[in-house]
Amino acid sequence: MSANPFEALLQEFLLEAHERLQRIEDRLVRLRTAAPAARPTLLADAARELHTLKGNSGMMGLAELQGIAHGAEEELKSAGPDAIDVSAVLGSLDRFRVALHAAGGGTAAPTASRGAAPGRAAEDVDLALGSVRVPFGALDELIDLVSEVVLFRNRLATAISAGPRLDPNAADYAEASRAAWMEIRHAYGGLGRTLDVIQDRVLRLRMVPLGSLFGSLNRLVFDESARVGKDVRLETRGGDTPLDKALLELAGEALGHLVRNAVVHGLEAPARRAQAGKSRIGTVRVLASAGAEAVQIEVADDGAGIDQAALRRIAEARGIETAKFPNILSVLFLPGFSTQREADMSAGRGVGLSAVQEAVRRRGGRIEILTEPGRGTTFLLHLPLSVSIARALLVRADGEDYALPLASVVDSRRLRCGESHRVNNAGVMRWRERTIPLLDLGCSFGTARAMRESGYVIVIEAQGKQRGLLADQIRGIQEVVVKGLDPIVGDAPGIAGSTVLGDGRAILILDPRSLVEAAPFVEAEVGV
Amino acid sequence: MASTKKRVLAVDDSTLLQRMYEMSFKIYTTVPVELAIASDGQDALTRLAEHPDTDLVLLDINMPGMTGLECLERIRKEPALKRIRVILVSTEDHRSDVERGVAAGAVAYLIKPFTPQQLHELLDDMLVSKRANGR
Repeated sequence: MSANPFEALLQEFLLEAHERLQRIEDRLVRLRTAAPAARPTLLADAARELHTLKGNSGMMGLAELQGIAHGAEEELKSAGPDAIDVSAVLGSLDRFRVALHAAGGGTAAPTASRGAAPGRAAEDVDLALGSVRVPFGALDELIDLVSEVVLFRNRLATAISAGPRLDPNAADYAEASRAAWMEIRHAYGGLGRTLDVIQDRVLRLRMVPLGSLFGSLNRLVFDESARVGKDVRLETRGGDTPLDKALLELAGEALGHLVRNAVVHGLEAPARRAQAGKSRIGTVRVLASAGAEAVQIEVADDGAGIDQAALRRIAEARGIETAKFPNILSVLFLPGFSTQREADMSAGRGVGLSAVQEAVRRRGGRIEILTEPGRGTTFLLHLPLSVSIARALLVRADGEDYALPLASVVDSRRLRCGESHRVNNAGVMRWRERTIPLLDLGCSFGTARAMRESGYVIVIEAQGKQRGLLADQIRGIQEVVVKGLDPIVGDAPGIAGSTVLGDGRAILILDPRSLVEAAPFVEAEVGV
Repeated sequence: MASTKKRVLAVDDSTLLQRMYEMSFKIYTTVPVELAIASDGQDALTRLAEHPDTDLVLLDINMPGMTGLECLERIRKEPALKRIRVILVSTEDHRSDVERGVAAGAVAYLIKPFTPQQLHELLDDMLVSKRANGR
């Protein structure tokens, strides 16, 4: 490689090139369904971005990229003012993306997963982003906050060193020591508050807008709809919804599957839509919004909906015990399940959907399906806002500590004598005018054989269900850094991850969602 | 102090190019330069209105919104900005635009890709030569 004076800017180039690539693709893909009046602007935007991409590649001394971009420019020119067929340009953009990937030594921004769409399997460059952009303002704020920390520390140091110098025989000793103590408390409180703000700001730095994934969805819809002969319009909203960078890759993968699924399976063929009195153009809507604890992404199609009776028949024909599924739609998440006779594995249903659900669950999220015959199907993807830090209630059972996500805890108190009962050997108790099942943490995790009669009960709620967890002690509320479990452990029911406490001990983080689903524990002594 | 420093405004919508200008100016030693960056034509006009004492503008042609040529025309129309020298920046195949720009009052053009050395030579010409001193 020839010496490149701007080599230090490679990351910057990759990041910007990737964004421009997305914008070009977005404009070209929108040409297909755009109103005639909107076309010239879309084309001009694409041409300008492409030109900058070429120029920047040249500035970086990346001749191959410059050549590909130049080729794409020529192809766009020869597509004429109407640019009806831009497939050659899109092909060049794909080559550009691969070459960009190579130029970055394997670093590329994540995109919505293309999966194994025909002819481009090897080009999947959806990789975790190695860097984020930080606005100067945010850095300045952090620097200010850190200087505040230093000030508080200095105050603390002064106050602490002044303490022993106080003369116990002085007349104002009591007052002086109280003043010193107050100063320590003050500085300590200020330190804590400032650190909270720093923690919040640093977490925010990890947040990236979800909309960075939308561009590749446009392209995906374009490719897939052409492949299956449907006309599809993609609508996206909420692109500014922030998501932890660590979740972006997962979100991209899940969105890719769900959107492809909607195009290939959700929407009817144009002729059938016309028969049903619908517009021939199907709509797939991707809507993102942020709640207090989770990001919700809705992938909705206006297709035929899922025929649940037919789904049940198909499942039964496959030998699936449908009685085990109160909601028959959940069989769609079974590994290998496909409603299409000629299983189309690339299309997300079947292998894809179960894999997506598994990946989403592992990171503390979940997927729901809503469907209405004739009106369409909606997949609701819930992802935690941040993967990194959660507030947890620390509880202890048989000497083992567990962290319980605080958001799921609705009540906790000492277990009163005789309060727990046994129904068919499973524990239950009365709680707020209802009977809820009990789960002894020691029994669940193999440290006890019989349900404890004393200690604490912590009532958790998830998916509208409550369950009382029995433990010996409640150790307080703490913010814990959430770590996933090693994949080697596999899918451990009841466990969402692990965390390391301040004293270095690793403890398990419980998963309220699976705990409320778990069968009530039946004591080991039964039948003895 | 400010009077001895040359003031340069670089206008480009690409953050890559902005960083490249910053890098190139950091190692430019012939005369002390204060570099400002604008990310589009409108931004450039605002900054020039704040600092009409700017000596030199490096102006990209291919930008969203107001193009470099439109921006150049606006600069030339403004009496307060008349003495500011403008260098157009573009790729080889926009040379015709460059020629139009020179006709519209640009003093030079810089073709991408350029190296820091090429930029420095141009800056030497523009900032140090007698002509650059006004008379």
